[in-house]
Amino acid sequence: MPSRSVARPAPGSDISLPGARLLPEWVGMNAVLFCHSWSVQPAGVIYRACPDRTRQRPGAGPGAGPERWGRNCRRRGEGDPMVRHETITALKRFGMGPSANDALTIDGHAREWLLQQCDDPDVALIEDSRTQGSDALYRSFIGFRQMEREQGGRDDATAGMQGKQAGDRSAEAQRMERKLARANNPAFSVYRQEAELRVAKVVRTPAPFVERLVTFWADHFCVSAQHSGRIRVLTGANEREAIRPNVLGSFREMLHASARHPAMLLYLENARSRGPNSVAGQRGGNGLNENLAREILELHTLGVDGGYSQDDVTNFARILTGWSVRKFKHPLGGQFVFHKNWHEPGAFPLLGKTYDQDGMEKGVAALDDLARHPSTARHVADKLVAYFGNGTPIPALSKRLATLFMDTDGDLMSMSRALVLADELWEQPASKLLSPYEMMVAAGRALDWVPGGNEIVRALNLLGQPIWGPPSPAGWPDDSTTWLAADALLERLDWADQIASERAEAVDVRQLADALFGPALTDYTAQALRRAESRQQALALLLMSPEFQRR
Amino acid sequence: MTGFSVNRREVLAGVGSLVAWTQVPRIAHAAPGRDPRLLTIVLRGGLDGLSTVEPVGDPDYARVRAGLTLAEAGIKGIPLDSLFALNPKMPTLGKLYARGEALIVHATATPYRARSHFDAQDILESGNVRPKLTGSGWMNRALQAVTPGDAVEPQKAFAIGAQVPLIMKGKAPVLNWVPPGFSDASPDTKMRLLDIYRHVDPQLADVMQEGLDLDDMLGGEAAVTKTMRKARGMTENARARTFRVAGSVAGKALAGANGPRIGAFDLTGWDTHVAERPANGRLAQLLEGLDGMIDALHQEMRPVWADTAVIIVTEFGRTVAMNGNKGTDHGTGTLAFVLGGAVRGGRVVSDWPGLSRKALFEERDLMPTTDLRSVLKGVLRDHLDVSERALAETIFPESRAVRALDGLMV
Repeated sequence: MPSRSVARPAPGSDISLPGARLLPEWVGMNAVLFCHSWSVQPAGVIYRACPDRTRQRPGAGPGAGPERWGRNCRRRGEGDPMVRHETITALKRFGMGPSANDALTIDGHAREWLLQQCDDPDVALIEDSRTQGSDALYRSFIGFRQMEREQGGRDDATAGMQGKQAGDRSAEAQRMERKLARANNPAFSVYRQEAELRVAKVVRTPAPFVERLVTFWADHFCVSAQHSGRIRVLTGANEREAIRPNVLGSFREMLHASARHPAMLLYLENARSRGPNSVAGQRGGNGLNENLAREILELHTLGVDGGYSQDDVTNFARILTGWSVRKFKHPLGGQFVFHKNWHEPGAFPLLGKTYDQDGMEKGVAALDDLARHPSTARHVADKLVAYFGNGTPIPALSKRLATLFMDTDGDLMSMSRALVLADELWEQPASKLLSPYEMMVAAGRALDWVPGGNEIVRALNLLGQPIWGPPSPAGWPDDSTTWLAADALLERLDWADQIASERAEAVDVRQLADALFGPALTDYTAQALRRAESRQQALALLLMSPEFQRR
Repeated sequence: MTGFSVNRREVLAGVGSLVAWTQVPRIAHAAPGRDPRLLTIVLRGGLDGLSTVEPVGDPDYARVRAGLTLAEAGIKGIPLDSLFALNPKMPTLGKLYARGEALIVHATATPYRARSHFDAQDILESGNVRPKLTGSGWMNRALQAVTPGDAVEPQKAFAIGAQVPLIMKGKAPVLNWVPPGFSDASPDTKMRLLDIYRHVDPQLADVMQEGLDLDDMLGGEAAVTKTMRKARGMTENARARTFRVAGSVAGKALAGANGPRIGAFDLTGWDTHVAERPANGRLAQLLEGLDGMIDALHQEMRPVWADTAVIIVTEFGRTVAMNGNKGTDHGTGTLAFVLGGAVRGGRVVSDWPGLSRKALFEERDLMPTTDLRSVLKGVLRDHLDVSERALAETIFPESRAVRALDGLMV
């Protein structure tokens, strides 16, 4: 994090930071304060610190020294509850859940902390030598499938033939073979690795607010891993290539990046859409497919009530003909390509304006106009408010955001900052239940732990929210009633219990609860944690507590 | 990863959810001596009704559907009457039809006339005339309108899937059920968590208590594992296996003496934009899966089949013409199934509009001539004894003009 000053009071010294109130526990302590702009936000600094516990601050750099904190430092009524409320709201509603670090260091600075996260437009990028571009991934997957087919092996498409070919091989041998094939299949190995990189990023990031924005936009422009192997291999790359570079940039850029990303073109079938009157169309074969055109209008830009007709859908589909993905055997296989010979010739009206540009320029111009359409501004604003709020509409805020969207030509950094500065979002009570993915990353942040790729994929499948795998192009439902389901809640508990059995040994749960929630932890939960019969039980209860599960 | 959890994931991937309601009153004024069961299955994605039940007797059919008909693939459908033939991938349904236990409503649709899946599903499930009017579903509101008879004790219910679909959301308590995956947390941990919820978050407490009741009812993980293993032996196709498990679990629960009486779940994957191939492709596989699900349901529910009605619906149909990718796009008119021993079946109910260009809706889709709500109303009224007034006002708002179809039930 930029611009944090560090004050290190000498043992026994009287710290006199402007505006800082001293709690008695400070005296005689060797403590580290991470803070900034004391003079601006003087309130409520020092809730923490107990003389009775000593522990190395997790994740602190060299020189941080031993630090004391713990549950006794929670002086109800002594810290400023408003400040604490803001901290919790910042960490949970705007962030991805508290980590022991953040919870303590942003007290009194919650909004600045969030705003600062928007300063670096590249903060969301995942730079890791293990990642590959979507074109390379596509080639490796299709290549794998071809090889498998040549070997007569089993894959999704030939599953039905397996029984016949298997002959007298034992079921066990077949199962092992399938397992092996799966291990080598990029659709699974890449998916696992991308999942791990994403969760690691969220757990370790200094900018969890930006990660929440990434989650939002990746879902807005989702391609679903449940669709097929070739989409599954590309879902992580789609987020890295189309979403993350633009998350604090311009909506228009993100829309363009998404609409021409191979994952999207394949997922919503535009990759094979050809104009009936194009050169290729005249020769027969494939023709128009309106799937991508419809979903861009309905889901990505205008919204279903945004004022378009079936004719607009068909015309937009014509406009987008030729936007495709190069065949895997081509040296540039897997990259975006505009097939001129597939493009429907002619000029087409869309939303009352006629597009007569050459070839691909038609689609570029149409997307440009969609990106700055007032319906798009409204649609995006409404979705953002629902996502960051508790799901109930806040018309005044939506209107402000929509206006800002229009005024800034869809500048997402401005939009993101405006969300942070919207008092409405700080005032709504925390009532949303975390989604399974949010629960997993919140557990990761709380425990300073990155689950492995296998664990992420398996657990999220079992909890009903496969990573990058919403059931439809509309993405995951954004309301907690979706997840507020009887047996699903018990399944969460079973997962939390399993995590607890693996990780409880290294954790003092009461200290952790205090570091995460401070006075926001209800007496009742605090008591239950104290009385738990084992560390494992205590940790499972903490992860399942309403304080943890509600946002 | 164990084989078991793979199975479970398949269940979740294919079946959005299965929800059964019962706080369980028997339904008081159903047909005499009947203890009615009602299950609604939503096919998500827009079922191609024309390829499922082909209007082979329509003079325009072969022309408008060139490239998609079963005849072109050299396959003969199961004849239903002079006009219609059933896709042969559905032999179980064919048998039920022949026995008078399956009814097909063709050229039907909800009041929705645009082509968004999501709005169309909203209308189908909410029972409203416009999307996003309420957050509750018509099945849930129907339950609130039922005159309760004796309570079935203990109060039990279940569901498949981690989410509750809109059709079952609402005031009447609904439970969902998720096939077991992780190992169970200890009973003590469960009780302590429930205790925290009771003091801190009553909503979570209620939901969790329901889940615990549900666990009791289904007899624990072992019974479920057995069902899943059995389904695995019966089909190679993962999706079909999923559908079969859904049918088995739902059937088992609904057939139980103390089980739920009302349920809903959905089967995804019907959005056939590409390579639809009703004879041997994606749609064929889906129909085969659906038929297996019906078979599993029928087997599990034999003892109560005479008291049972199963409604199978989808948000809309698909375009009459094939698109450029040998699939079809979102269209309006489609079909619905009503099956079960309580159904007066063996008929295709349809005011067939024809397939000439002029007869199509917007020159594109099968023209709907039967309001789907009149079918749903007919079933709810005659099977569950829901009043016409509740049907017109609260269950399907603004639907006074849509009359319940008579004579759907035995």
